[in-house]
Amino acid sequence: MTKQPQAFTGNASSMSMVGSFDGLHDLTVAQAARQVRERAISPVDLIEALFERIDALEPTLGAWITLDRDGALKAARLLENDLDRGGGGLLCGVPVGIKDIFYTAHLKTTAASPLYAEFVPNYDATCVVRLRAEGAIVLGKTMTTQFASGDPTTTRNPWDSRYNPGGSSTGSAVAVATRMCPAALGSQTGGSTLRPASYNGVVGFKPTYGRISKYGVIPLAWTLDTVGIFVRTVEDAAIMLHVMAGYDAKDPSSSHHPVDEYRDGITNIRKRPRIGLLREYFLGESDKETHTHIEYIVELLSRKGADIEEVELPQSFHDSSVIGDMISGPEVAAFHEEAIRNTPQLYAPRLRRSAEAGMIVPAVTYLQAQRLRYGLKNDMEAVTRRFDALLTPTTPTPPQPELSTTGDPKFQRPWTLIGFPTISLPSGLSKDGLPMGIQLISNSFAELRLLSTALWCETALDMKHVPPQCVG
Amino acid sequence: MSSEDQREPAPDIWEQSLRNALTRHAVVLFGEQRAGGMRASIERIAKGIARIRELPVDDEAAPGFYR
Repeated sequence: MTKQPQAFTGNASSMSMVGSFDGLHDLTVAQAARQVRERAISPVDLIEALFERIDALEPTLGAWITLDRDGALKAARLLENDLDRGGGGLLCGVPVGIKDIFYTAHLKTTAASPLYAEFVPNYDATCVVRLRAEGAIVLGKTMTTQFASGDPTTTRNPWDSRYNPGGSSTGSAVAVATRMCPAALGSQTGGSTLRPASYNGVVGFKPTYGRISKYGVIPLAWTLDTVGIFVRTVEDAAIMLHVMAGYDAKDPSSSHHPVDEYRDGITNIRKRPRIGLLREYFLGESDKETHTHIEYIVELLSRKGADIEEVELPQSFHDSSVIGDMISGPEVAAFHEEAIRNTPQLYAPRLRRSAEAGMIVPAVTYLQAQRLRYGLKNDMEAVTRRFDALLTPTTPTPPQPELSTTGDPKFQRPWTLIGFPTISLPSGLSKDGLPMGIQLISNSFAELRLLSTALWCETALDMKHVPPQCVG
Repeated sequence: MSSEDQREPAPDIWEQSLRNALTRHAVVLFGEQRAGGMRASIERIAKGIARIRELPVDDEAAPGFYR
């Protein structure tokens, strides 16, 4: 079903470059939408430029499962006609990648599983509907681990193919990092958006649980699954959220909580942020390089004016892992039980093991774990509300030269469990030349505060690193 | 039944009984061979069940669709 990318090795300094970074492929979401809307560039030219780039890079990276060249060009031509009549939305002509667990009308949605290999939905997921309604153009479906679980993909890390690219939204992270598209959708049930974002040096954003509709998204664990966003700037994260946020009657987990003015709002709050540093657990569980890096970042942000205070975690936080395990296993099992019983050989080994284990967790344990989430959430809200955001490393280590897993999600899972919004920002390079990231966390539905703080940090960090663009 | 019969067994005996019960459940669902390979999962679930039982649950916390 998916082809094995051709291997390449090397690091940032040894790789040849494809094109220059002032080309169409380097436009951000905000830049592309503005230039298309103002007729400075043609949406057709933009789409053709990105497919040219995909053609050059895809053989070595394997970021896509299905490309929709004809559909994307058709949409671009329609948009061009629409622009002649004065049309154009917030994402006017913006090319996007969609993780292959989101339903896309008349375009295969495989979840990287042989079970769905020929599945073609007849409707779009709600978030895809909202993207298209604002003028976004779907380039295709990005690589995911099987059903967004923990079995690694064949996608390669563009910084160095020997190193872990993360998962489960691997293709989305790699496509955005290598300028194949300025934005892509992912999902997060444990750490499937922020971890690959950090490993590939892009911005990864997981809004509050229920903020973006999951209607038309193949589930992994219903009460944990959250739509994720991959972009290259915080401003772009705000624009994407602005377009997709809001209640959807078709999704029982969708929230009625009022939607803020994310797009313009983030630039209106530019005070010195008050940041809570979670040193205790998060630096204790990090390797030395990550620990040193975060201390450097804290010093840098403080010097630029951030008010940073170390905070202690409540006791309940330390049970978040076991609570999460007792919830995710049974939910994964419930969705896959029948298919595993009938066709176990079609399942990737980790997902099968996880679902089978979930089948023997008692119902009372599952329900008590669900009830315990409330206590944990309440405890963390009391800590978080004193700050604009909490700060941790996104991952305990930089990407490792190890491809048998998707990396360690333990720094992202607690926040997914309690539904808080989180964002990962690129913050530097490791000694091996691989990206490192910081994670910022705010209370539920405080996306505006989180994104404003992230924008301030992004400006202060002033990261200019880009991955080496290898020729296939 | 004496009051002694009604007492929960010592934690180590309780946990071993739990592991045995989980293993039997796995054998019924997946067969001897597959269940035999689930030792690490069963150990993790047993520890999870034991820990969840220890944690205080707020009376007002009702499970439901989490928002």
